[in-house]
Amino acid sequence: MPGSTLDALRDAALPLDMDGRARMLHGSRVFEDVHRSVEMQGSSSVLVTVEQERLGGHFVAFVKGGDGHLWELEGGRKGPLDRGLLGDDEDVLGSRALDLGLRGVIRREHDSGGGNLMFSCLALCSSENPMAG
Amino acid sequence: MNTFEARIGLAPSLSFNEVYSLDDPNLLSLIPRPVRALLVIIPWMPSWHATRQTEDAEMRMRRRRS
Repeated sequence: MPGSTLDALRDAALPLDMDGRARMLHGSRVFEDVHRSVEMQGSSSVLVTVEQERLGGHFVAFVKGGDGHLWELEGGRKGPLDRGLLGDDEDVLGSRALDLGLRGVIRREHDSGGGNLMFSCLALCSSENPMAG
Repeated sequence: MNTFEARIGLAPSLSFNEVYSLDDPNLLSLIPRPVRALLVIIPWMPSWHATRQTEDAEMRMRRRRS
């Protein structure tokens, strides 16, 4: 939303490099205030995810970029990873996107002998232009 | 205005929803579409770690050459 905390954080982040952005967010008082203000109220799905990461889980995000590509984002990596081009009608929860992204990660672990993988997943959904089917 | 999303200024047309399964069509159908992003917490895994290291090394090589 224009003029919001998120808008300001985004504007501050855009001119910075990877490390700069991490430092900016880490040091952001405003971000911390919002976080703290909802923490008191009990679980929201976003904060449960944050708490899980603190407990040793790895955070990774899959996003469909403006270029139509599936991008994998993880803080510890050297940069965003291009996982391939998605169709106009494909979103990140579609079967192909999952194969290019998250299922690939899970399959690799399973193939190397890993056990049943417990993970948690939050979807950022849009109600604009809903997809059919 | 009592959720993280509302307070940080996420547009009202966007929402966070738990994904309970990647394969069960009934559970998947609960998720409003289109999904713009997936935020995943996954436990550290040896295979994934090895793959990441290889991939990052290749990325560094490509950058040095270009």
